[in-house]
Amino acid sequence: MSRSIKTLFSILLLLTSSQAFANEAVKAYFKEANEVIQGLTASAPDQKKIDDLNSSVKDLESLIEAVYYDQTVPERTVTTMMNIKNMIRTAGEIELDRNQRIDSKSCEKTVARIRLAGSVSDGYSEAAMSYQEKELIKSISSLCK
Amino acid sequence: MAPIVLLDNLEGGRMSRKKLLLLVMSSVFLFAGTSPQKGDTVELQAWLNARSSALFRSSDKNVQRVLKPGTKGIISEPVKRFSSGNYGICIKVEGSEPSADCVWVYYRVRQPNMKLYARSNEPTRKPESAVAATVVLPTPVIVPTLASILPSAAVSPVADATNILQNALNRTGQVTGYQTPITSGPAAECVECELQRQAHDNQCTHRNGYLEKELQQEKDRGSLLGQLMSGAAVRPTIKLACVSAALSLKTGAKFEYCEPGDKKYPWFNKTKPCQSENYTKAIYNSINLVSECFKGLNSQTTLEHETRTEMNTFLMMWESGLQMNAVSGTGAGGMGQLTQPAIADTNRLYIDDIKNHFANSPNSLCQKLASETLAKKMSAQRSASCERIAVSEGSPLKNLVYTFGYQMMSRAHLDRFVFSNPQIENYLSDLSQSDRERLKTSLTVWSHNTGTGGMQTPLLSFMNSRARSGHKLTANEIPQFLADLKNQMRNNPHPANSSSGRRRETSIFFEKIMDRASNILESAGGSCLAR
Repeated sequence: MSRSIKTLFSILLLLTSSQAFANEAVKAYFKEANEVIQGLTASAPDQKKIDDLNSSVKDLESLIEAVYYDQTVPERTVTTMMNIKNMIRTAGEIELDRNQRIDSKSCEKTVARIRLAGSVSDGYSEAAMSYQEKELIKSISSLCK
Repeated sequence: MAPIVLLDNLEGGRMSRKKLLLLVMSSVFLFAGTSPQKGDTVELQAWLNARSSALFRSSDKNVQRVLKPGTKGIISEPVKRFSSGNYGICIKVEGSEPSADCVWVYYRVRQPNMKLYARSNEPTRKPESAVAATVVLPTPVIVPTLASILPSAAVSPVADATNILQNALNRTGQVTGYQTPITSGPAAECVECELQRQAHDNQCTHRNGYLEKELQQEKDRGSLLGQLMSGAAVRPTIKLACVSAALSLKTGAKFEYCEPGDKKYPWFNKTKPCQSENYTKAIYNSINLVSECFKGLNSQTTLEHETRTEMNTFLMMWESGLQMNAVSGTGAGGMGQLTQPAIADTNRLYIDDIKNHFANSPNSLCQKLASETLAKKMSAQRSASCERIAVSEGSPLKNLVYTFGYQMMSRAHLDRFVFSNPQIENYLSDLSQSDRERLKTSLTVWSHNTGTGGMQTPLLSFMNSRARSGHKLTANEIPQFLADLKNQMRNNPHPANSSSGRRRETSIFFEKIMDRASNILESAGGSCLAR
């Protein structure tokens, strides 16, 4: 899993000279992250998955570090990479909760925290999120079941 | 009580022409309705707006509250008859304070919406001394939203952001950049002297003393709030002078009052509560107690504790002027102007942890805060808005706990999604610990209006755009940083804050907080911290 994300990021970096391509690549990341997280629910939790997720987070951190000061990479791409990294980190924490048989309330709290990313003071606004973000959050939420 | 439509002298036997004529005339009059008069009792059969004057157009903006069906009252003023044949009647609601004013309701003759009982409480055919009118057609209630009866919030023209922020920060003692506020106030406050002066300067009247009875009752029954007004020892973090200055400020806020036990139907358009000794003590000690109880939960060091408490207080000074029953047109209520999502998120994420933390505190007042004030969670429903402001529902203590809790939640979110990124940490690494903490707390306070997502989106993007050049933020640059972030809020907001109104409101929010704080600090010796 971490290899596929790494590959996708490498593609993204190659495509950043074109904003349109970069946008497509960002969508692909969301899709990839979503599939990874959905895969977690398919079987019982185990330590390997947690290790995989943590490894992905580290890979993403390295990639962000590598491109962060490169001004040719659009700011939006960098910010999106940071957001995806945080979401995958959250998925890892949820998986850890599941593995340690921490009650579902704790899991839901973690999901609620990430949902706050889309909140504004006059009401939680799913409309403000992109389709990919919604799908990703939906998948993370499903881990709590 | 008997209904008015009963007629006397309807015994059997022949009826004279005169009597028949009288009966026909009476019937016609009765069909048209009955005439209420002073001293009669009414019982509402429908939802009705209660107004402060006998003006009944929506443009009159004098609705105080909505009265529910079944409400009874006595007509206490001469009725006003309109050209339409309908009446305005002023009723004193049953169970209200003896000194309370009567409220005006509209009495429609053809389709009456209330039962009417005459003083004599005896059957009569004469409308002038009617016993009662039975209402058969309920009137669809028009409950005005607060937004429709309040003037829209005045927004001052946006001046040069950098100057305003620099000015505000300078006035708060942060002359070079973003230093810790000056702490050279009077060495020790004479709290009792200040309270006595307040009480002398602020005599309660019939109009603004509506909270006094309940506050006294809390004292008498020895509740936690009562203890705080009776001199329970609370370590002060915030100075009384600051609290007093904030309470005495004129504010654009509106005020509501909920009678004990009433969770849904506040009285609208109340005046600002009087700054009595009890009221000032309740606010002052509540802020300091809640702040004290949050130690170790929202802060680990003295620096964090003081910075967060002071900034939270600045936030509430702007939001409500520290008035426990302030309300806004969007339904926000209480000292922290809590909204439905803020309460719901705090309930879902943090309130259990907060309660446990208080319950395990060595401070007996914190334990009581957990067992008494937080025995029941605050309802997030707007229909239960009294829970945000009513003394009988735990205000101001409960509102303060939720306000501090929501701020704690927002900070955790920004820490997680913004500040903990290694590149952002690096960007802030040249700031002193104090400056860094103050900046992060300022941004958290700002997010009270923008929402956490509404802050995260422009902030992360903005910080990345600065940090990627390798530049590190310095203390001197913080006012400019805040001014630029303000522009970022306006030009590249979170999608949910992208309407023109929200762009303006979210971008100037922090500037407004600092502007009010600096005014208060002038009269409080340069710092609100009690140390």
